[in-house]
Parts: sequence; C-alpha cells; structure tokens
Amino acid sequence: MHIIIVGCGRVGSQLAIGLSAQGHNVVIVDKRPSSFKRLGSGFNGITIKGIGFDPEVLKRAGIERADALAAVTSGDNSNIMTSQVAKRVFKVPRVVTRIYDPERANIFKQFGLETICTSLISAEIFHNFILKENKKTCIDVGKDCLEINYIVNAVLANDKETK
Amino acid sequence: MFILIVGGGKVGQFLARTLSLKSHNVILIDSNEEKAQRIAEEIDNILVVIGDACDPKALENAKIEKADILVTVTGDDEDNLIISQLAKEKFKVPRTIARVNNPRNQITFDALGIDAISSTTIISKMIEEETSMGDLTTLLSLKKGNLSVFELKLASDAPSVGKKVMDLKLPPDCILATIIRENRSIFPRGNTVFYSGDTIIVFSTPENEKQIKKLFLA
Repeated sequence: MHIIIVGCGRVGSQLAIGLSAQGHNVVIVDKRPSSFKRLGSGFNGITIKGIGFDPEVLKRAGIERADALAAVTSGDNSNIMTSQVAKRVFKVPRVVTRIYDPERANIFKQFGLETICTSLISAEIFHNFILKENKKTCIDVGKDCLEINYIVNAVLANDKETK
Repeated sequence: MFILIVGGGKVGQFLARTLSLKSHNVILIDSNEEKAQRIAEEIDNILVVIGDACDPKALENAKIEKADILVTVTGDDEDNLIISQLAKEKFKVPRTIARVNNPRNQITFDALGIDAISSTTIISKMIEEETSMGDLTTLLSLKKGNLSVFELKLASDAPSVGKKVMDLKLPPDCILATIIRENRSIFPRGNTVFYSGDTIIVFSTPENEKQIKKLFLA
C-alpha cells in the first residue's frame, strides 16, 4: 500500500518504521526536518518537510495515489484539517485521525472522520490497572471497533492487607 | 446583529471596532489573556472572552448560541477551519466566515463548504486588475443565485469600442448594467457608444463569460 503519515513524532515514527518494514510504500511528512531523526537509519521510505494539510505538500507525497493516510501530529486541529483534505479533496480511501481532546474526537467522528482518541484509551488502561478489574472495553474508531481486553493475572499481596 | 469574532490580532481588533461602531453586538474571543485584557481596555462596547475557541465550552461561554455570524480570523488556518465547522455543524450558527492565511488552503475550505476569504488573494487580484488593461474579471459570484458580476476594461483596440449598445448582440441571460467612464457611472441606453478606457459592469450567468469576453474584448 502507498501510505502517507503526517507527523513524525513518537507515534508517527513508530508507525512509519513498522509499515515500511512490512514492505509498504511509506511517505512521512513533518514541518520540522529534525523530527526525521527518530526514524533511524533503517527506514527506507520517503521524508518530506512541510505542513501536512497543505494540498501541494500532500501532492508531493503522492496523495493522489495513496491508499491510506494517518494524521498523527501533536495538533488536534492540524490532524482534523489534514484528514479532511485527504478525505474530501483527494478522496483517499482510508484516513485515520489521532485526536487528543475526547470532545473534539467525538464531534468530528459524527462529522464522518475515523478518529482515535488516545487520551481516552490510555485513561481506560490506567483505570483498569489501578482498580485491578477484568474488563472488556470497546472503543469505536469510526465504523471499526477497538477492543481492549484487560486481564488481571494476579492481585498484589498487599492489596488485601490495605483493605 | 450578534457577531462573534475569534482571534484578537490586527484583523480581529479592526473588525471588532468597526462592527461595534455600527452598533452590532460584538464578542471577541482570544486565548491570550494579556492580549484579551488589552483589547477589552482599548475597544469600547465589546465583550472580550478569554478562551481557546477550538474548545466547544469556550464557544458556549462566548454565547455562541445567540450568534448570527461567526468570524474566524486567527493566524492559523487549521483553527479557523475547525472553529467554523464547530460553529456551523454543532452550534448551527447561521453564517460563518473564515480567514484563509495561506491561499493554497482555499480549496479545502471550499470543499468543506466553509465560506472563506483570503486577503492575500484579494490583494493580489486587485494589483493584477490595476496592472492589466483590456481584461475581464469576476467581481462577485453569487453561487446560490447562479449569477456573476463581471467587470471589463476596454482597451483602444477592443472590437466594441466605437459601437453602440444596440449594435452589440449580447447573449441571453445577460444585462449590461453600467459603464464607468472617468469615475462616473453611465447607465447605458441603446444609443450609448463605448469608448476606449471604459469600464463595463455586466450581470450574467457564469456560463456566458467566454461569449461576453469575445464580444467586448476580442
């Protein structure tokens, strides 16, 4: 697949390295070229310096033939705008948006974006760890569903004492 | 009218001042506390709210549900877009106008149905008009009414120069509205003659553009 990743932070670089290692055609965009250091020497995709929602930058990244785009910059609004450009202007078949703010993630999901709110997911995992509860949680990503199955293997010994 | 302005930069401040002088109800939102404070001291009769307008709660604090118009004039196109979308889709504000900082983003706003104005584009168009003679420009296009207002400048070699209005075969769905000659408007009659240097204003359907250009300019 030809995949464009916008934002070369911790998530973006990990995603790029993984997809590229699996043999996909990866183009990663970031406004700061220094971010590309995170990719290391093993990455064999293409890096482009530029603003991710700029149609000209996306064209250079080959958006017209892209199968998927992931918007994972640190800015919620940039991610939302990038995804909408990809989806509505260039008709990219699979577009996914990382949004920190749960409320905005929910609103733009209703507007038809596939959003992943990592804040909610992290909070859920922390919650389960602290309460040591077996729990199955479903978080929907657009039409898909992400299932977190939290299984408690051992209740700590001092847990009972403090109770 | 109740007007909500997002962004307290030069454009936002100027807009707030101008609109409040025309006795509109103006609320301005800016996330920078110091800046908001200063604007509140400098401009009378407006309400300044501190907050990040990308957050729906901040918009609620600024009484968005009462707004007739929301104008987004921050320096970031992504913020202007998202705030306009929130206002339009979530809060059902009847009219939203966004500022486009980088003209390349105009197509995105258009594709998403957000009315957007790029000052860069407007200024460069005006300069282009000033420097070009014998050209046709679209002054206004009313999308919903499917009507365009064209402006034409007649150079000395234009085929219409020296002709009378009645001798010119205008296409249907087209009205010759005004001739501007030496800074005066002339309302044309059948026997009005076109001169070199005239500026002509035509109301028409957008499809007639080529034909009008051919008729007046070659």
